Amino acid sequence: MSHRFLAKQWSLIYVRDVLRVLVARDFKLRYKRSVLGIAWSLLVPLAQLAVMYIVFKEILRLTIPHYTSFLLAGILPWIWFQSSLITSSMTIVENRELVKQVGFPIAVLPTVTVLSQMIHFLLALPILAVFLLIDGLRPTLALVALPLVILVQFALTVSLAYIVATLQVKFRDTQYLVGICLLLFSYLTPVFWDFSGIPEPFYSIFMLNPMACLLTAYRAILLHGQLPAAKPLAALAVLSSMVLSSGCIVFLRARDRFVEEL
Amino acid sequence: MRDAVVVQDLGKRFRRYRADRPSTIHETLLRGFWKLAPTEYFWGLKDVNFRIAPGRMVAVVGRNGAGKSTLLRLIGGVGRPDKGSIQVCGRVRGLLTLGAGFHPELTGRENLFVNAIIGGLTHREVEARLETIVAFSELEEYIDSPLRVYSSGMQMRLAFSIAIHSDPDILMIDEVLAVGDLAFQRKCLDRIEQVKASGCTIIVVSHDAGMARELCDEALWLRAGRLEAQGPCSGVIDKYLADAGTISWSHLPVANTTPAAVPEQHPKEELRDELHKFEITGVRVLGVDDSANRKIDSGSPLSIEISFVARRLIEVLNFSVAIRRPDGVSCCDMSTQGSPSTPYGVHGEGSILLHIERLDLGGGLYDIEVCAYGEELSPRFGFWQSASSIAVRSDGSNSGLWRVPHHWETRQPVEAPRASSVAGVVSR
Repeated sequence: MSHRFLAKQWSLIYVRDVLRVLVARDFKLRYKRSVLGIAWSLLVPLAQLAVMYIVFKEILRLTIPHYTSFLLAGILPWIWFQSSLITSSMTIVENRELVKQVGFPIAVLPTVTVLSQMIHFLLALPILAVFLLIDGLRPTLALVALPLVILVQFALTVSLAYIVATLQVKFRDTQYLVGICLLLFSYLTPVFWDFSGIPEPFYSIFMLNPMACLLTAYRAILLHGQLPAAKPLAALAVLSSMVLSSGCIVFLRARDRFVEEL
Repeated sequence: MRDAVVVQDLGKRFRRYRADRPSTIHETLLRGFWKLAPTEYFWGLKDVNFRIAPGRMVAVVGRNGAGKSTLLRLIGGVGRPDKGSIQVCGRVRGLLTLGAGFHPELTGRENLFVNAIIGGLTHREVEARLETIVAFSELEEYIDSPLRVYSSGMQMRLAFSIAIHSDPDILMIDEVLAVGDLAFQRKCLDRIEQVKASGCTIIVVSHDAGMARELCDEALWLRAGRLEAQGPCSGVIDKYLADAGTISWSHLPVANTTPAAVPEQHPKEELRDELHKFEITGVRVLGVDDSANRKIDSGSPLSIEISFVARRLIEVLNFSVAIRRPDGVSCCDMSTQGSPSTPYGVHGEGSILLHIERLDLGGGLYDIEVCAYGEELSPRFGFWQSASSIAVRSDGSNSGLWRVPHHWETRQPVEAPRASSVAGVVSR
């Protein structure tokens, strides 16, 4: 079984062009008929920030310093993670026409979703910078580690996106399950709370959650001006690449049957 | 020179699932994982071997479900063969589905970019060709409107323009040409000729035998997933058309069927109270050179014999015979009504013969429809929608629905007079 032509289609320039045009398409589609346009992508985290701030700071009176910055530094990466997985579950099914196109590299689809969500995340970063400045926090040299953390999160999200997208083709309720799991998972992740105070056996267990590890890293860089702990991040990078490769294998093996099942 | 497409021992196996196969995780947990497994497998394509030399135009013919579209998809790398291999040399573009990956909310121009880049052009190449593509599709006025306002014909024009302007080495077209209007179809065919002349290999699926004969060099005939024949276009298509006739035959009443056996085998549209009054018991085509294939040369005489039994006295009995193309277009409809040969006072078994002096139809497959009725067209006593079929053979010099009796006359230039200055070529 060989297909020489596929190898040819996978040249880097071609993949780059396809990624670019599809991400651009995502953006055009999302903001085509909305007055607020790109501002929508900022509105969601800001609304979430406002609600959480009122609930946890004013009502429950959490005593985390720089709480607005703390919250936003958790909310933004979490939204990127969450919306990537929810959208990528639909990506194959919604693009069935593309999937059936001759020569279309199906494997780019989950990546396209995660990429366009990442652009939303990056577009929201200036807002975070404003809040940091208001809280009196100044950027330090630790900022150079930020792209690395973003890269690890990207790898992790893409690898999970492949698995979710594959499942959705076979089981059409995957997207709802993913939504429920993410909701439950968000409570186990320190988005609005801080678990640096919890006792040791639990702390290690909680840190097994990759998103907890990532959020801690973001906050170390942005709030504390420190380099993130290298060990958990490195472990996460290794784990992500392992999940990524297995996610890719699952996806590629199922790919040839997508056409039949759509 | 290397072959453009080499298909070796190709097999594609499809899975058939139970009707209550769970499609969600929820159902799977409730009903059990074992219901996920396919109940049976069948080969959509099997043992297919062929090569296509570069620059050839190949027609793929075969009945519905013979595996034509599956074959094209596999060549295009959509899905994977379960057996054997496909080697393709060069860039493949296909017009296999009408939607072609267009998004209704995006404008024609935006869709054009997405589609052309996926098809293998770089961003710069698309920009350079944008004008040409839009001009060819004749959509200048609409190119910045969202695609949802386009008609299906307009979408097809855009998709075709993109595909044909993206320098494919191999272009595959699945029946979609039928969508555009005639003028655009003509333009497409001209453009296909040009692209072909520049060395592009073209594979088309077509049910239009005339078009296939006109354009293609070779044909592949698929029957039930197997390659039945490959070779020069006319020969393969003739074989296919003749075979299509025999397949119909097996579904249809055989001329010498006993009347009692007919009702179970051949459901007919009849009026309930007239059910036992009258029955068409057989339809036979006479004058065909081979009764199994029922081939007939265009322009030769043909007779159709309708046998019937009237179990009660029928005052006025009219018959009509229509010859239809497979797509339902009526080529001629002949009736006894008003003619001196209308049978009156019929009772018992009998038969009526229709003699056609010249069957001047173009080459192809035709269905014969037989109807028996009283004074008015309704109620009908009996109606056989495809009572029989014939395969009309026409020489290569003629295509189209009707083979008009004609001849050509050549006039020599006056400067060089010859003994016989007028040569007449008379077509039979």
